[in-house]
Amino acid sequence: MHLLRPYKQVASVAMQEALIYRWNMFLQGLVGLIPLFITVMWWRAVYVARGNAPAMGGYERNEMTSYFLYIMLIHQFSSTFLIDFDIAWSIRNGHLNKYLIKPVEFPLYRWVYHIANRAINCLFVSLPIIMGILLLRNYIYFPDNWRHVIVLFAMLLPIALISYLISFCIGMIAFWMLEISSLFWIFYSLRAILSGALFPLSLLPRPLETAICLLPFRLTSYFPASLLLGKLNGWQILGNILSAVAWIMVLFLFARFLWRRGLRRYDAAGI
Amino acid sequence: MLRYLRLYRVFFRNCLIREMGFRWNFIIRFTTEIVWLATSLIWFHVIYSYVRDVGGWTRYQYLFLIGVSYAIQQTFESLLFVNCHRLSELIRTGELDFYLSRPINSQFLVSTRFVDLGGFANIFFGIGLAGFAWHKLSLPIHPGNLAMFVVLFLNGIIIYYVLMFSLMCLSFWIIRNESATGFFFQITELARQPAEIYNYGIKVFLTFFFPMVVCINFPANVMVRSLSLPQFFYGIAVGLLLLYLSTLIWRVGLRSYSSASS
Repeated sequence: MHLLRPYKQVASVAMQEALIYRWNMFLQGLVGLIPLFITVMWWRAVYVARGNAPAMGGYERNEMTSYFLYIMLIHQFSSTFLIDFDIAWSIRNGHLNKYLIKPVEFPLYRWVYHIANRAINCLFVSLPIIMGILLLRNYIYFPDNWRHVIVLFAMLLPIALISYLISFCIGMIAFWMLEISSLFWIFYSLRAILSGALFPLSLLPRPLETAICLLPFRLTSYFPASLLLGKLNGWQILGNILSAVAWIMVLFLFARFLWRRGLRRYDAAGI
Repeated sequence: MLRYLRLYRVFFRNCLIREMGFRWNFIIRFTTEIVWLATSLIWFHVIYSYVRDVGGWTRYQYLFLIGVSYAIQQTFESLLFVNCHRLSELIRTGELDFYLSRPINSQFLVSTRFVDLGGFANIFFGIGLAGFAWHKLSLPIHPGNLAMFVVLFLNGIIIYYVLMFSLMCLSFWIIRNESATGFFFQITELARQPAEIYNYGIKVFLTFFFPMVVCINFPANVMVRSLSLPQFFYGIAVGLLLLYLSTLIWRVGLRSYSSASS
């Protein structure tokens, strides 16, 4: 157990650091309501235009607006926004040296730090979001099956891990290429589409939807949101969980492979 | 006035020369923005494969709005945003001294010193997209409307600028003002939507109290929908008033400037 002790410290430090920014987080949650509000207004207009053929891709209006609300809530915990930038930055300017000489594994260290930070973030951001939910309650579909909610909570950590592993792999490109941060924005766009964060994947033509579902990205947005909306039956839920486990293993092995190869190339700038 | 235009030409040339030294950066910046545009076009395409109009905006009217919004955003980002973005750092470190000690208007210098040419090239994509949509709508050309469009286009940039500049001026009082940029993009999201999707109260609020509708909806309306003359003059009055307000904020802010480290 003593091998894990440093990480407990890391988590505690990360939480204390995050707490310094509590007002910032609260404010971010408040301003984050604007996109949510626009989503609600936008889909309201779309469904008015749909007239008497309401469901789109199997989603009624309130299900559609809730879809985006749930993704927003889940991302509060699972988002790895800027992690790839951070890792690339550490590699490029030799910041990584500091961790390589300590008795910690950097990828694990960064994960613990990240997740502790997100936990605090959720605490403060959720306050304004709950306010928003109360204001927009007429447009929201609340989950009617408590089992789905339990599955979601159980899956939060795996979802965050998938997201983290993807970001970590992207960040490690910095081992091989210099100054590629702008490329990361392109990945963000792609991930927004492929994960279903931009729109439910069922709005796409069937073959395209099936193809995108072969990738791991949908597990971070499309799966949890459609789970809460009761769109998945028991077998589909089980399939998604197994697929999440499999993807975690694949991504983990891939990340470890990149990490080892990368360290061999790492020139430790600044020494 | 002429002196400022001349100065601006020098800034521009200076940045062009600098940028040529980092050609890759230019290309990557350029493609990144194009990918963003492509993303919103995919979104647009998916929505309009299900409906004929949203809030009364038909397919190509809305595409025109996307084009205008992209062009305004890119113009603002490449000419003004790059500078506003640095402001909080300048204030925190005391580097602002350099700008204050030049014999020209400090707000002008601080807001226009650098040009981001990667974004600059993208302006033409936005214009091209809007032009394409406009062509598809096959509307008659009306020189008066075109002139109004140009004025409202610049007006939209001014309002964007005032919003961003004011957010950054908060750094005079708040030392850690890092979220301001994120806030800016989330707030301007309100401007990028057709105003007709909002309910009545919100629309009034966004026209008169927090005039986001004026930025992009007004110039788009004048070309592909309709905009009355009073609306046109109202829009300009708002832009000018806000610009004046920004100079006041700048002056009040400077009074609290501590000029750290000097």
